Amino acid sequence: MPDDNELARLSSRGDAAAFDVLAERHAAYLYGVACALCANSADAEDLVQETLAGAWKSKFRGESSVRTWLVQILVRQAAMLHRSRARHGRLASLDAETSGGPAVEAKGPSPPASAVARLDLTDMLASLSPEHRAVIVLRELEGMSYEEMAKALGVPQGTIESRLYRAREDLRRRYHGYL
Amino acid sequence: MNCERSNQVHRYHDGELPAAERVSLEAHLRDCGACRELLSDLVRLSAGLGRAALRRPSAQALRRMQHSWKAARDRGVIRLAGWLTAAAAALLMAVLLGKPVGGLGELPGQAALWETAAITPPAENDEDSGSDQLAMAQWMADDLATASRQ
Repeated sequence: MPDDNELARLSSRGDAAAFDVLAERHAAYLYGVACALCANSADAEDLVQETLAGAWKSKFRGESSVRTWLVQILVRQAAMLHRSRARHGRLASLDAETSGGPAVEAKGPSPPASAVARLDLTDMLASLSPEHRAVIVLRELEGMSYEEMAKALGVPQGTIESRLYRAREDLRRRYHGYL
Repeated sequence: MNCERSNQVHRYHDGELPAAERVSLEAHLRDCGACRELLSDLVRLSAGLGRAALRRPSAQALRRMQHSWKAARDRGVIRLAGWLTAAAAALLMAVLLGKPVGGLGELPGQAALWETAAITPPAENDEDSGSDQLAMAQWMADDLATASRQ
């Protein structure tokens, strides 16, 4: 079975079968990350679809792993979705989720009950803003540097540092003693 | 209570602190309990996030997504095929029309050829038409010269 890089190379030459293998390999992971970013299963499906459609149209340059490349596209798609929602005066779908996992009290003083067993990433990030969720995903799941994140999100590096700091401080307070 | 160097602790944890600052912060960590606690929390938080479960799509959701990306991909292929067809058609037109136009810059005396070609239907612009047009242009020039002498 070809590795991700080989599949991405073939895909960028228009090999649809190679792209399908790549997409099938990463779709479930992308969905999990999408749920953590938007906390809504319907939006998560849309985000994965848009991400894969975007990946098919763009060219993988080998600057990161294929998975990280796909997650970068996903995070940008999520940011566009949140901006679009904000423009139309609708709340981000943060609290809209009712299926796929336990409900989360967004600003509660204690972590969700699932923390007793294994923490659910979507629950963990639910109290954060969309921007803060994005930097946590890129840093903690994909291990990207500040510079890489700044490039991926199109914001100054100082903004990345500030978002990461605030996001972690929020999580630290919320999950203190549970991790 | 956070120490004023808590920002640096975050950057240290992420491996983003320059070497000189790293040495200085490591010395500070020996004396500052708040920063040591923060660093310990950050390590645990990163590990916790790394271990956290991602939601899995149902088989139905996976099928829906698969269907959607394949449809999007096929639309892209069809669009690409459309662009290639349009590009090929444009190239063909350029070849058909371009031969007389290409003669523009060759010799100043041949300017009459493109003027003829611009109003001639493309079907007449075949391989042999160039020499016919040249002969006609020459005949017209001779004719005009004769007329002016008269």
